[in-house]
Amino acid sequence: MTDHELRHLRDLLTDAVADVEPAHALDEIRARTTTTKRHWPYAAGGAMLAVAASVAAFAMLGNDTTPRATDPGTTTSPSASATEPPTAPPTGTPSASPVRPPSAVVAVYYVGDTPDGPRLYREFRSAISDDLLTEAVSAAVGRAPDDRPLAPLDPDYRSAWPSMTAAAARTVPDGDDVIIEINLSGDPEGSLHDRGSLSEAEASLAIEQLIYTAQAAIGERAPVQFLLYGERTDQVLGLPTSEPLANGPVLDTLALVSLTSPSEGMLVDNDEPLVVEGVGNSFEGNIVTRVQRWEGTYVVDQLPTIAGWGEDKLFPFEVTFDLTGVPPGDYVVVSSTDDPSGEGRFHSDSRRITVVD
Amino acid sequence: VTTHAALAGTVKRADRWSADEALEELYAAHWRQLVRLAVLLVRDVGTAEEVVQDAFVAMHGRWGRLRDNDRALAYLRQAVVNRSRSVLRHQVVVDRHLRATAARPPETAPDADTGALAAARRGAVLDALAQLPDRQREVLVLRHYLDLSEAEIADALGIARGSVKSHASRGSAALRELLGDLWRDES
Repeated sequence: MTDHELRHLRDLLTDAVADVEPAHALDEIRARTTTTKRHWPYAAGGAMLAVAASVAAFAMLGNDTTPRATDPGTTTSPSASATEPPTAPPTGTPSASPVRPPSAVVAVYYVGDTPDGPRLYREFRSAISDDLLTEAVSAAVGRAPDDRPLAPLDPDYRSAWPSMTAAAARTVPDGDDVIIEINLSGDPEGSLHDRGSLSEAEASLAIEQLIYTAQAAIGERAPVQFLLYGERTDQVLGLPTSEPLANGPVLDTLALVSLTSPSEGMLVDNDEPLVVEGVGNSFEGNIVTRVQRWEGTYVVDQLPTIAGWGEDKLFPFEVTFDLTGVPPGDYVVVSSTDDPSGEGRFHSDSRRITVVD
Repeated sequence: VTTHAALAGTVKRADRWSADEALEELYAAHWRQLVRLAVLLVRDVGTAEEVVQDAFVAMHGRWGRLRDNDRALAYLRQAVVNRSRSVLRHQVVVDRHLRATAARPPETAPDADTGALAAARRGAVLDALAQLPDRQREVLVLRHYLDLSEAEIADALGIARGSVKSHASRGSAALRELLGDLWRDES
């Protein structure tokens, strides 16, 4: 091309958009970026203890399948600590909520293995932003609020989403109810429209990860509308998403035991009792929890508890260990369901902890 | 002393720009041009605005690593190109454009004034761009609308400089072909 032709091309392109005067958007962009200023607050074990303590106050939430209309208790946001008034409505923009206690936590559902194949486990993590709903669904797809990759705390868990996926969520009113909108974007080279290399089961778990996580963040079982790049889409990961989706049945989707506390890597003083909390659903409600050395098989103690069973939900359980005289070091806490068949098909969840003097 | 202090203050400020300050500055300087860039890529203005908004949000989240206006601007351009491509692949824009075109009332005979001619030419250029393969369109627009160098384009698109050259020449040849008389019209 000659210089003349190049100039002509430049003029054509410049002229083609010369009349485009985009609408003012700074406020809108600002509203979407109010969440990305701080860094993860916990580097030390002490902060982890604090997280675990605030988690304990609402260990039951996030697994409650009761419809919200009959159970106002579930409208308490599980992402805020017990000091927040339980009357805070879950509707409206999440960032509009009032002053929040410093150590907010979110429940994030990740994929882990069970004898019945991969299922979802719930992990609590400390949250830093004002938009806990978005922070929770971002964590579920493997991203921190500052856009960095974010792995589950428990190395046994994983996100089922392709690695460059990003997610944001908000609630939108739907009559007297509320719908959660989750907007996905991702690797421009890949496609979240089709399931790609994921199996159908993995794709389905990926979707359930976000449904369960978002529902836990707002504290109710609201339907979830998926968007892809801000638009409604007939499918995400090959699964139909034209309509808002309900969560899958609890007993077919979640692992049958999931630990709430201790959190992975938590420091535990052996002068204090170790309270293990979780949710589960087991034959006749039996859940056995043991504390054993990380290396080797030495079992400090093993205690049974009774959670519920039968209904399509997980029931809370709690058991307390006396660690007096237990030598400092790394230990693992394992809670398992009962298996009456004797085929070893029990579900379990574990956390590594460090006992200190 | 005053000069020194003032200077030190400026340096410090540039060094320690927060993500919010960077956002404001870059928005003021580049929002319009980036939206226009996106319009050349995706054609639909509403979609272009969304694409560029997303890019600014992503830039803000990444400011901790960018920490520099030039790098942030390069990141913004790259994000706009990548997101535009994603959007096109999802056919959203095409569908919306088809709907918009179908819904538009039949045009009255254009006045023979320059405004109507210019509008027709603008539409034709955007239509022609939309028909090019993704890479050719991206390279053409970065090269001739943003005036980026071949090296900058290669960086932004993650392709070799040689490919930039070949996409540019094929793209401009194809565009010339598609525009026909409009290309030669030197009004």
